[in-house]
Amino acid sequence: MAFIEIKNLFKRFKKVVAVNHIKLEVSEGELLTLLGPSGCGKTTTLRCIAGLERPEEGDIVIDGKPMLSKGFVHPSKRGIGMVFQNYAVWPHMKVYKNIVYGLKLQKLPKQTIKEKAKNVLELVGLDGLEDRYPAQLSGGQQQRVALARALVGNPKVLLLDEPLSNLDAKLREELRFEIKSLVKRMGITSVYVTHDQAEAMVISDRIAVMESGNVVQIGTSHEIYEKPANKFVADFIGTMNFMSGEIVQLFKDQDLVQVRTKFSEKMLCKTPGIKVASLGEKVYASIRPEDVEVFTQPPQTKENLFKGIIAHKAYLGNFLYFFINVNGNMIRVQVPHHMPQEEGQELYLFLNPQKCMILF
Amino acid sequence: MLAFPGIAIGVSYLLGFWEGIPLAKHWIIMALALFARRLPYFLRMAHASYLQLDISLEEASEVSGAGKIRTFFSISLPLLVKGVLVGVVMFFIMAFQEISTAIFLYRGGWETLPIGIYLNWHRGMEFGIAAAMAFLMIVITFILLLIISRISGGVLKAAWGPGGT
Ligand SMILES: Nc1ncnc2c1ncn2[C@@H]1O[C@H](COP(=O)(O)OP(=O)(O)OP(=O)(O)O)[C@@H](O)[C@H]1O
Ligand SMILES: [Mg+2]
Repeated sequence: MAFIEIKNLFKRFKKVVAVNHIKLEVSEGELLTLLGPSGCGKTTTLRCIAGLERPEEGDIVIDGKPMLSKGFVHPSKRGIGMVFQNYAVWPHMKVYKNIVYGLKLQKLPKQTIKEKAKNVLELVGLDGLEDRYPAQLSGGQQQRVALARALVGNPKVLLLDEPLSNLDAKLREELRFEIKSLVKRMGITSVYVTHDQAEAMVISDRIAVMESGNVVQIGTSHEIYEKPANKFVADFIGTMNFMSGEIVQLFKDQDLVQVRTKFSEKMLCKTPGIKVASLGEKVYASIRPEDVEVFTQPPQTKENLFKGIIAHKAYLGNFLYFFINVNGNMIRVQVPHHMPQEEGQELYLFLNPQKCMILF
Repeated sequence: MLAFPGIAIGVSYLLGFWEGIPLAKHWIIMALALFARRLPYFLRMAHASYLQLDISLEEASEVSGAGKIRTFFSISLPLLVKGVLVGVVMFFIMAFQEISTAIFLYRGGWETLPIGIYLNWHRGMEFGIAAAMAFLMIVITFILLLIISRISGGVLKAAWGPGGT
């Protein structure tokens, strides 16, 4: 059974529906990320789990105990550690006091408190700074205090709301791995909120992609990148070329469909669950920029082959983006950084049907 | 209360406490009226510093295992104390400079400084004494402002803009 079960959760603020009857399960020891654009309801979902928000409907079960249906369980009684987006370390307390605050409330023996504090300070790399006030720490160090404070009481569940969003890119990347290995080592069931897809892909066991109060897809980073549930997910995670069109033919035995788009009359796309597609349906033939194959001379294939002109060339260091004009439509292609072609030159594009997917 | 003119408070305290409870014949009426006159300003200030308090600081306390009362005393109150102290001193400055309320209530022997200035200037034509009193008032106000700036760290700077001392 799942360690955290979110059942039919519904929360609204006046007329704004923030969380729309979502269902989620987090297994014991799992790190699940809520990923989605601003305002999609990630924070609200997390706050409902913490008990800082009271949903109108649904239930949240943590380790077998219902938090709502058998009476509201106060945040202090949920066995939760939480890291807030703005750190929320208490400015009038030194680092040490910040960290032992929760332990003192548990009335643990002095010696135990000392030991636990020492351990967690070491764990997050703050030893030596226990006598500083938060204002005397850098943003990254404050975030570590927040993390230490959340972890010190050995919570059953760790909740993190965009814990790295206020830090610079370098530190963010570093701390990402640190948090992941820390949480995994301690085996804490965690829910992590972010709108940064790269962060989500690195840190999570599974990702729940949210869109305007709904969970639209749950899966591993790999599943979500390779098999996005719809256009929204494909667009949000990574980059995707979308060619709108309609299905004109189904090849059931080969798991292929033929789509008519503005790019060409015939475009073959792989569709594993072909049942979902029907003739005449409006779809997006889609392919990732790195899956488009580029040739200077026409290759042997006739299927899904287009001729285009390089409209723009964007240098990104380790690779190039060509924006290629195909009959007046633009397609983005990722190529190795040493490709010598310049804007205005002609190229052949092969959109491998096995890499083309249809999305709705 | 904020929109209540000082004159109205002065007159009403004078009339209200004339008979029945004849407080108006004792200097304590002055303290009471000035207190009432400026209390709303103080509450406003204290409330503003409460609003500035980041709610997630209190939420973090609750998640850490503290109840509402514990959170108030360990987190909210200590963070509010500064704002409240500044409010108290501002409250004193304003009450101390008040004239519109005081002018109806004073009697010989318990004139406040601003009334002293007024009387010396207007009735006695004692410009020298009035000026000395005004100077004294400025000095006292300045000292109080210094105390505020000590408590809150840089209010003076904020009020006087960059380059001020
Ligand atoms: N306290 C509140 N009062 C009114 N509306 C709110 C409140 N909190 C959130 N909302 C609304 O609920 C919706 C979801 O908000 P939420 O904070 O959960 O989004 P989010 O996914 O965390 O976004 P972000 O990435 O910007 O933090 C938004 O439309 C937001 O405006
Ligand atoms: Mg948020």
